[in-house]
Amino acid sequence: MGNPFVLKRALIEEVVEENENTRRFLLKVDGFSEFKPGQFNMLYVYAQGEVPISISSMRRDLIEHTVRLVGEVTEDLFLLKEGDYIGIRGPYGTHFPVERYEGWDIVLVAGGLGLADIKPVVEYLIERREVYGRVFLLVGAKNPSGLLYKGDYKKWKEGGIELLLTVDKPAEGWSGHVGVVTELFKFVELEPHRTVGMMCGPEVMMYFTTKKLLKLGLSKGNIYLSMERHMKCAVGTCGHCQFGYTFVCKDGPIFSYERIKPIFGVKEL
Amino acid sequence: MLEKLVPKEELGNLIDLLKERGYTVVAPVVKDGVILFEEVGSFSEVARGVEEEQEKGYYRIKEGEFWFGYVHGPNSLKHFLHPPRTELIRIKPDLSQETLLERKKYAFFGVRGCDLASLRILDDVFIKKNPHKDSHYSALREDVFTVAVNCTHPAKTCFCTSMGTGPFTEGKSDLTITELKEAFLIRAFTEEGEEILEGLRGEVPKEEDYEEERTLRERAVSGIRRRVDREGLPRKLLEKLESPLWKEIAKRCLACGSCAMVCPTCFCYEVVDDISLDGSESVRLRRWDVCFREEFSAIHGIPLRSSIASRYRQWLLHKFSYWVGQFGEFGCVGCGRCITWCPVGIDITEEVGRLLSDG
Repeated sequence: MGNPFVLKRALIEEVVEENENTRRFLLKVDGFSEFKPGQFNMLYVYAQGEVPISISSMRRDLIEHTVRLVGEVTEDLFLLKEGDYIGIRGPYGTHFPVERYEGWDIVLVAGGLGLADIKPVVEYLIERREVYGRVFLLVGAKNPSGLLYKGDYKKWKEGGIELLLTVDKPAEGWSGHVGVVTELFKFVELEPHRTVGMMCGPEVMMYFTTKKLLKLGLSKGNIYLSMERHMKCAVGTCGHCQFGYTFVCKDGPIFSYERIKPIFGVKEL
Repeated sequence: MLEKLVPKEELGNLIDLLKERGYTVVAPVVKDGVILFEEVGSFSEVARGVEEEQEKGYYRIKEGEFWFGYVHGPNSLKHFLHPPRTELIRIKPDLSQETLLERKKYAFFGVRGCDLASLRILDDVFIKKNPHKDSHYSALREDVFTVAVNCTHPAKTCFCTSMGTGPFTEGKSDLTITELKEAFLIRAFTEEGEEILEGLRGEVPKEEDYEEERTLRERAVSGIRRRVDREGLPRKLLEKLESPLWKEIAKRCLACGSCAMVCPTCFCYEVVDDISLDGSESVRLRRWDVCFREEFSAIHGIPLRSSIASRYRQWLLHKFSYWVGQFGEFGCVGCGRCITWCPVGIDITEEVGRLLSDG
């Protein structure tokens, strides 16, 4: 029986600064397994520890992660440069089940860094654009600099994605929508019986987005959320990522709303 | 199945037979005023002629007539199979890695029904119901041999009858012992158990021996007064997530985590890097952790369960509700350790009862 904590060596091939505290790390990893949109990896910085980070692109040549500077491990990760090595293990967890919804319309909703989890879905859909109906992508951020992957928007729109943006607080030069992401639904025409919703973002954002999608007539089983809890081991034994009757690392992070309805939105759970 | 009536003075040979087969024998001993599972060299070290008094936040040992008239102290088999500290992997700065798996061949002697059940539950967590098999747990678990003892003197804190794990344990161990007044009635349930039992002097049990065993069993069962009503419990508790009772319990709960430490099934751990002084190597360790710690649930350094009420709710619901969703059975074996070792005497069976009746 192999040790589930063994890491692969990952060469940091490229670092892209998204904003002052968010960077994309593009990693060269030999023999990295197949992965699906919504899955995550454990990234290890020598002597500092591991962090769970979702895979933020479907590209296979390099494994992409978008990392926000939030703690000790990411602080050390931000000190590393192109040419340095980190450890990686994965992929882990469930994925957004896009393959089950061919022929359907798709509403993707992302808040802040949550777009990192949704971007692989966007790329997956663009690759197979003809087998899906309309695809909406609703993106919200605190302010314009919190909107990630701005360089990709043109490509997404050309790929048939209906992209809608909003910010909580505008800044100089922002002429787009101001307000929370659920307000963007007024620009979206849905056929609820053939529409699936997929989202990632702060829990409160997902709570209101779910309510909105239910109100618009989507069924509980066709709404998917990416949950966040502290995944320390990623192999279902450390217990830290427990979310009620689930382990986010192995039963999630992607859940249908139907699966988590009794526990979703309960405070401090 | 082989069974034998073995004279009391013959039992010491069992430990020797296990040692001859290369087992590291772990058995209950009296230490620091409590019963503890420890490695033993011979039968003379095993706790004998001892009884326990256990109540909410109370534990004392005293002399007793029966050899095995006690139940268990604060530690359990998890201390051996999922130790408080386990080395996971060694890593060098160039990210080369080495796994040093600790292998053991444990024979657990004097295991009660509740603790036997805890082995099955930990197996589910680390191996059987986990797609990522845990090599470290497996290396310690694979060769385990169990000698169970049927409980004839349950503690007042026991509620194994509610959880279906005791006080008698037939068929779930390699060997099972019932202590009669004058002898031991020993049964073997596995091939290796039979081989070992062959090596013990004894005779064929008579009807009166079975009769005595039945009486002891009935007395033990009727002596267990604490109850948890399992019927529909996972769902019923899920409906109590917003109960005001959690705040009531939190007024007494110190969030010390004693209950989780003594629980034979609580498995949560923290992963830490232990770095050599010169930085040339980092040893990744897992150390027991408890959901009562505020930082346990922290995401990006911000605790998710900051109130004690939410942490107690997490613990109780994990045992009696969430676990069933995660693994298909309860996470509680009814051993009652959490009741005995709670410094303020919170009784999980009482709290479940209160939640169901008026929570």
